[in-house]
Amino acid sequence: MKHTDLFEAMGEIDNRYIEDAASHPQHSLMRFARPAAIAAAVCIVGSSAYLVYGIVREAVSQDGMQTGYTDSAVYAPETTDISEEFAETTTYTTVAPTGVPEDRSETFYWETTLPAETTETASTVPAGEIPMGAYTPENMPEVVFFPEIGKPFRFSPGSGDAHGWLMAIAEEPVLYDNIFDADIDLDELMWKEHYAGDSEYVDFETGEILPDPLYGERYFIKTTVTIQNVNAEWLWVSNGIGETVETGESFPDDALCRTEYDGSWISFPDDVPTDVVYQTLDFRNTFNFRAIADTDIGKQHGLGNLVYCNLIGQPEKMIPDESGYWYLFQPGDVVTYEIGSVIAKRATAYTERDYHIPEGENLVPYYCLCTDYGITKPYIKLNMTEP
Amino acid sequence: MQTKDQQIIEQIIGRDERALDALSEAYGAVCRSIARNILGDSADTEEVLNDALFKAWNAIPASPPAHLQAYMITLTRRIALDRCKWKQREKRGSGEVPLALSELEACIPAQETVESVCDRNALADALNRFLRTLPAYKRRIFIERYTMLMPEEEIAERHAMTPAAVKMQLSRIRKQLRAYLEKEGFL
Repeated sequence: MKHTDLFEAMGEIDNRYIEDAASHPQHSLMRFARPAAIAAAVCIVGSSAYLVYGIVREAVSQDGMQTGYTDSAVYAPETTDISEEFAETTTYTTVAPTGVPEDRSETFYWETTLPAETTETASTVPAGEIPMGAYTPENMPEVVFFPEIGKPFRFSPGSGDAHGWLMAIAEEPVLYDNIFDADIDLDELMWKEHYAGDSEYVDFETGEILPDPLYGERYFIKTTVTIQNVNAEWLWVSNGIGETVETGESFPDDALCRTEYDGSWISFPDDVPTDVVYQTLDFRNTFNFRAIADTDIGKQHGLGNLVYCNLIGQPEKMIPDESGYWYLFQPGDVVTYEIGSVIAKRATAYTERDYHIPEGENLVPYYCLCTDYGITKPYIKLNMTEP
Repeated sequence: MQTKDQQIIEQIIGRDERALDALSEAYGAVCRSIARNILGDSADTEEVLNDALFKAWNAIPASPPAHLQAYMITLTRRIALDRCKWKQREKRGSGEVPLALSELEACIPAQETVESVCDRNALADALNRFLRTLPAYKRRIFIERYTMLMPEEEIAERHAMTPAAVKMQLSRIRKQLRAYLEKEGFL
């Protein structure tokens, strides 16, 4: 066989694959308009805030051909080497729209060569309780696992750097109907340490690597998470860095969600659809709250897969023109997402050295938000154009 | 409800020439892009697009495609490649073809050519099976590069990746493909 045969054969592949590739949104920011769900909890302890959030992402393509999703959550503190030697295949079961369980298989490729001890802790572990102990930053496990649906599990997020991740994934049809619903309880402060900042952030326009603006004290927390939605297959949770916030001023009356500071539980007002999900981020000395709702409102109104994006919490500082709070995205919309002076064009706000973030996935808006810590007058501008 | 594609196909079957405008409006951009990626010449590109529309007009009534966009892409690719080969008789063609070919050559070196030429359908079947194993975004990247012949920069833009990341992904997929083809007995 010659390579030209292969080249010719590439023109004869299944039309559905071609259709899928050709119909794929032309910018992954577009995926923001597709179902994405984020749950966040903010724990206010003393003068600091801690950020925990989980992400549910769709995992199927438009024609339903895609059978799964590949992701991993690996922290590789020491090296930037790329290796595929840690590839592993995981099989799991999802429920199709027809209600028929389907076995699916995914191959994971750790993007980074991990030290042996890290590799061990980063492996897939059975669902259930993650062993807890007197963890220190040195022995904090990085865990990637499939929690048993409907049962609480515990884990200790993060070590060595700002975040540790687990990820929740749901299939697209399910996501519309029955959004991830998790209670996240930050129930114990484990330790804190001074954080000098050793991450890299990239200016999307210039490509310049910026100094890590996350400078301050770092807190580690122990978290209990209960997956209540049977369709959440993974949960991705992270702890984060907190800064001083002006509590009580961040959540206007019409907020989609609120945080009970004392108990650090998320709760939703009764009139909010249960599939509302949200993300938090904090800028220095302010607390801006970004809410993203992936609701079935659109379906109820026959409008298809709508994603409402609501910017709340000091919107006057975030939206220059102080225009409406709700943005309506529909399939096919192209959203230009501009933060501060940076036009976000790339998903990986964190360097690949630190995290494996699948390029091109719909994490763009979230990570872009996270890149913006250092900007003194942050704002968010959303431009929506017709496809 | 009748989809846009169904409507176009029915118009073509009904010999309604408005279908050509609709077809061009719907998929002209992607077909033009593929032709341009292959030929790198705007005049040829337009001719290829017209040829593709003409062939679709003639062929669809007898065999309506299930996926109109993919059909047009495949048709355009074939016509553009034919034209590219014709041009290459005189000089090396421009566009993305030489680059894409050289990349695939690394996947299947020319010196590994065997006497028995494998059946293209069997190879396409194997490719389909391989593509099925890929996560969606990798599959799209691979198809965008080697079926739609998009430049890496364009793929990067579509996926909000850097060109370097695209290059890396393609390299890995090619390696996977080579291993797969070896396992399947093609190499």
